[in-house]
Amino acid sequence: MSLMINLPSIGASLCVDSKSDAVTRINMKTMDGSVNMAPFQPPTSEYSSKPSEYWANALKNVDTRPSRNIDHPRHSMFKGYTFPSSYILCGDENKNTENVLAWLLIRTRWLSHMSGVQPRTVPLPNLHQWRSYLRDLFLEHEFLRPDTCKPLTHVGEDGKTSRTARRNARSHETAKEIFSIRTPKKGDVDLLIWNDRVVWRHGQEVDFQVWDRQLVAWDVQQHNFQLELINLDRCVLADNWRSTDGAILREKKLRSVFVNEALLTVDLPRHSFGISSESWEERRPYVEAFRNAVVDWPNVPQELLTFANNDQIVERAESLVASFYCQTFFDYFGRAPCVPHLFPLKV
Amino acid sequence: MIGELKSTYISTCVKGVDALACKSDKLVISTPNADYLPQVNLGKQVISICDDGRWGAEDWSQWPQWHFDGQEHFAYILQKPKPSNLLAHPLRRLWWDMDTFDFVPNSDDGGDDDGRLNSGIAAHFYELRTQFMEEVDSCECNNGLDYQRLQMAAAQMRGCVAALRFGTSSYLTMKLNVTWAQRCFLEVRALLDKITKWDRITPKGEGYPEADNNLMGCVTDRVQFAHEMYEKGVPVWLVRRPSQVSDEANIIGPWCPTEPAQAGVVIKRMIGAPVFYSGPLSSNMYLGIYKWKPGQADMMLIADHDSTTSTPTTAETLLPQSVQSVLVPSSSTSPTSTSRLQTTSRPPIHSLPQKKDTGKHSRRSQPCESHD
Repeated sequence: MSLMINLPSIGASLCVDSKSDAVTRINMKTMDGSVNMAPFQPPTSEYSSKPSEYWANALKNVDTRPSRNIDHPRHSMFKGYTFPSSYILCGDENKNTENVLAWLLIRTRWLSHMSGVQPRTVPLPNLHQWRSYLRDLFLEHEFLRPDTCKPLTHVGEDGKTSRTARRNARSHETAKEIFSIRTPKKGDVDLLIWNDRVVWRHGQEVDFQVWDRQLVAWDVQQHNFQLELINLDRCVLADNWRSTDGAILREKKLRSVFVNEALLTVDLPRHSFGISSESWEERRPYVEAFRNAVVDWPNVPQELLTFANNDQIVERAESLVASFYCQTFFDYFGRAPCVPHLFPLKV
Repeated sequence: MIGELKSTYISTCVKGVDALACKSDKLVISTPNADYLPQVNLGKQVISICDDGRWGAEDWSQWPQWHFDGQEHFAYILQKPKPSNLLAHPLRRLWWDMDTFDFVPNSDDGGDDDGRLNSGIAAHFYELRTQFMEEVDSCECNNGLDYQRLQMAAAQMRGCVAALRFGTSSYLTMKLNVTWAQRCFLEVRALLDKITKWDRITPKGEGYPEADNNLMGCVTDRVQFAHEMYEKGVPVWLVRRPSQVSDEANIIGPWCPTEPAQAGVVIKRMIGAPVFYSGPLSSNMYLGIYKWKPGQADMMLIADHDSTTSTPTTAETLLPQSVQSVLVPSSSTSPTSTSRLQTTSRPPIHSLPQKKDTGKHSRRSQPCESHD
């Protein structure tokens, strides 16, 4: 039952899902078999929010040689995604829409769960676990149609449970432990609201505008970025976090990178977008806070230390700090970080 | 005013304090300026969460505490106003008790225990935060230590308010977060008052001002310090051995110390709440609980390896395992507010590596209430 599997290689995590998904997952890999290169490239889907050029460049230029990886005790704990990766929510295919619906179904619950009083003892779910969890949830709720094409019947015609059903039950158990939130029962949900609109109503077609989808992607990206920043900091400066004063100080520094210093926000921002603002003026104090937080990390580029809050060189600071962050994140977790995306504006 | 305490000794682990130890005589508490005597526990301290989300008599925002250097500002914490004044008090929100109807469930689907704080109340907290931050930003500190402390407390306050206003959580988490935010607010207020008001008073040696009964005050065994407080008009209580009380002292009669519960402090422990500190009086007894904060997401992600082992206090479950197992099924049948507490009645908040050893929990959690 223990889920404390080390997940440095993808192979170890394949036990929970169906074969077809496993194949796609491996196809996404590059030749070295360990690093998923796709998230290092700018997202192409029209349903995705986009990073600013600084962040896009920073991601592209990460040195992904496996030799860079740092061994540390929290690697397996924090390597996964706190929120589902925008990667599985964007795209034209039906399954992406389905993932989005399932995600919106549990989004507030997940937010509550993340702010709860019980510590998380199982590692954060990886991309693959998120995908199969959301998929199962979608099928279970029959959001868009009665599920006829993929037989989910737990009891076959002859009264025996099918292999699929057994596997489903098993993956359900696993998911329960990893996700540990109670999900609503089928039929309890009549509508899903997102971005102040009803995006799905029982018995009707789903109604997403492109902007809604972009906001979904932006939201998970932003939350992932914020929590990844904190988790990474906890790994990089583990000693500082051990003392109470140190932890308070670190938290203070990191929180100032976020709008309103809020880590988890239910509502979408309407006025201030912080580090994901398109406007340079608005972004500036947050970038400065970000720089101020990461300069305490080891191996920080000398140039970052000496920046004054000077207009001409802030652009340089932003690209430097982005590169430093992305590289450090890769070194610690062996994957691409979720970087801030520009807040999508209504088209 | 003078009265007899239940304690026979002061269990302080800070060197340099004249630790009073006496086998038989009970200690006496006296005050030059306050209008009551608090029954303070000077023996073994246990910090845990009580039913109202606060820490009972060990909570410095609720009850006078032993004075330690570096914690001067606890004496300037504002005391909860009397009920008659509470409603009109501009800071009444800082003593407000959250109730289930202030909690708005996320109602998109049935059977959800999660929700948000009533938006009006959350906005009120945010307003106070803005107001306090203006004062913090314009506050000129006399020394680096004060500055640092003020900034830290203010950061905590902002973090809590952000979770209240923008976050969603279970009722229990929200309630703990509200009390945490209130504690932060009171601490910021006390630090501001200390820096801008109390530290600037230089006693002229012309009599003593009346004590400001809005303040929490503090308890000490240092005559010198008590005198300083007296001169500033801050409520102070002096603890001594009966034999140390001078015959010449002008005593206006014996008084019975007020128990925290009599003064409205909730001291009943929340079922299943972890114990954050258990030991003698100490200046760092709050450290353990500071690491544990509700609604901050970070604790959700605290792995069980290095973080808990390095802390001086290990969280233990309050109740023996046997009691818990009785409680869980009974509460899970009722869908009322008790079922919300269910989350805490399950074992550890900091899940201990030695989870299997159930006997350990019950053994270690016994001696909580000993006053000696």
